[in-house]
Amino acid sequence: MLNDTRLRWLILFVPVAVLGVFFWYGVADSLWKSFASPEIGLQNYAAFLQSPAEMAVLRRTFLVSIGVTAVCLAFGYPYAYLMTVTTARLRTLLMVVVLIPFWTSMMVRTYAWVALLQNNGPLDRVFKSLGIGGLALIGTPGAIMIGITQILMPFMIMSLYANMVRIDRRLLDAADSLGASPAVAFVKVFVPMTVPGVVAGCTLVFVLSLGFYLAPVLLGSPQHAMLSQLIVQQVSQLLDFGRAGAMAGVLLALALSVVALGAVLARPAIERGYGENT
Amino acid sequence: MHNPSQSGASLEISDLSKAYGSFKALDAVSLTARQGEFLSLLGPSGSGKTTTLNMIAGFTSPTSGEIRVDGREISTLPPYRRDIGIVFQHYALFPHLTAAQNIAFPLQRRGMPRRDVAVRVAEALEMVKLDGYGDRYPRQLSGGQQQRVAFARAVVFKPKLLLMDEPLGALDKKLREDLQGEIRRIHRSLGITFVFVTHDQEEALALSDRIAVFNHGRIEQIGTSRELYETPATEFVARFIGEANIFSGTLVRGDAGLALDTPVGLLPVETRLPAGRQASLVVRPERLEIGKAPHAGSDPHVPATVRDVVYLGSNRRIEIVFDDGRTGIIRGSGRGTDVGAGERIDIRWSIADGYVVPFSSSQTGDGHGS
Repeated sequence: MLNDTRLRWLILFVPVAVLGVFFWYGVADSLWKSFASPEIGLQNYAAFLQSPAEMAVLRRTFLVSIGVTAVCLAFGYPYAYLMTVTTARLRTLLMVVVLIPFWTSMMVRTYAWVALLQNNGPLDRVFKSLGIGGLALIGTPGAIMIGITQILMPFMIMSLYANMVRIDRRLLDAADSLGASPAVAFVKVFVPMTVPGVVAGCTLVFVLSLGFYLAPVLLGSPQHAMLSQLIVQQVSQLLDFGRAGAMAGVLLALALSVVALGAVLARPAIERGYGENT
Repeated sequence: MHNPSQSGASLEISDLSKAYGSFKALDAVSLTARQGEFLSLLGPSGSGKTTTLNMIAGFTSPTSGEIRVDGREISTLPPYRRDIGIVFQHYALFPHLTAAQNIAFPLQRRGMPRRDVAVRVAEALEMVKLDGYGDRYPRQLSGGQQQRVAFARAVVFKPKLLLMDEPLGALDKKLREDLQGEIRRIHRSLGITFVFVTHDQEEALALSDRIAVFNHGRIEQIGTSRELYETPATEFVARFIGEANIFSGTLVRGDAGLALDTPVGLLPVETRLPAGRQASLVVRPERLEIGKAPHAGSDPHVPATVRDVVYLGSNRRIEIVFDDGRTGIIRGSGRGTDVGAGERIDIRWSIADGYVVPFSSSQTGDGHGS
């Protein structure tokens, strides 16, 4: 028999090896090239950060991700809340409505948006019939946001739901007995206790949307490119792996700082016993 | 600080019922609590005591009946307008707020100026002996300390009525006894009316002015601890409050007066119930005496076999088996109780120490609340 420790290491070895070869190696290689290709130095980062066009892309990527996160939160919060207060039957229905698109191919869903949002598409025609012309969304950051939001919404709803469902309803009764109307109890007791779920959902959605490639390519346009498109262009057309690595490095740093910020924001909740330790 | 007789509210519940479909969780319950009284609602789980509490609090709406506080009907008011303090079973402290912020919560909801809030919170923390703990979050407090914060939060806004739902259930025995003493002390000093829900009969006996014993959604009896123990209204109450030896049979009139015809013999009784009625005789364990030979006098007596003797220091708890196979308990001290397992004895009691209750066929299995 293997002893416990050795068994544990063995079980751990397989996923670590897979991650190491297929994930960490790639990341490390990109980062290495960003500092070492074509020569050792920070010139790739300097070039990226000094290019106004590329900085505009970075800013757009950041803003679109913020927008996607905000919209996901604005729609996901009431949706998840409804799931926790409704009947079991309606809860199942709401869950299925979230999960079915989640199980559908991202490619299919994004193409569906292309069809919906294109010039003379259904949405455009509705707008035109209402007398609002020239509002075709395809090719704009708005279209990119819609596409990403639709795909990431389940992540937000699931994060919020997992948090909300664990909140002890007796706390709201307690608030009620202490003189808080339902609205006040919601704001003073329920909302603060959902901070861990909000932080988890926002972090997840923001970080995932930073690197989205499919939606910007299909729903956006070269004039409204996102950083992932720029990286692909560097790699596949310009073959500048160093520059691509620098862009990826900046994106990674941005993602990691958001994760770190999330950890800081969720920390009081974890210490006080109503947040998930991640 | 204030006159106790003025700071408690009276509570009047009449014909209160709650039905879930065809199941009656509460069946036409009526009870009153006087101003400043400590009333316990005692019963096994599912007996309706918590349902009653939730309806007083406003968390459950009654199917029918009335709830009046100081004469005012409150069943249509939402909980946040009832001004009733509640201590929840698992405290229900807000985990994202400190102890002081938890206690300040009801004061802030009432729009009290910040400075007054600070003063009142400090007073409340002092009352529950937690001065210096105001900045701790509930997670950083022990179970007993959380209980104290919950208590302070429920009384800091000076409600006239305080409801407590098994507030000591989650604590260990020693701590529970300490807190019982404090609850009594605070009840006396605040003078407000307490309604205390518990399934623990010892706790109810120790704390209450009066106890309402619940069973199957009805009240079996309301009375002082002593009334419930010495003159139980039903066999259920006799079994639920303390320990009891119970003999069931039919009342018959003999030469020497009324007697109960039981499987273990004819037992003389004193009761106002008429002959011919089915009834049960309740004799408390400490009222029994042990004889080595059958009793020659006129007192009721029954032969029994000792099954086990538990030495408890100040007294002994002797388990006995009657000849019909039913078990009984004797508590006592001294030489008379010096018996061993397997020994044949004759137990007797004074006729005045037996108490007759009407026979009832519906009993809850969960007879010994502990």
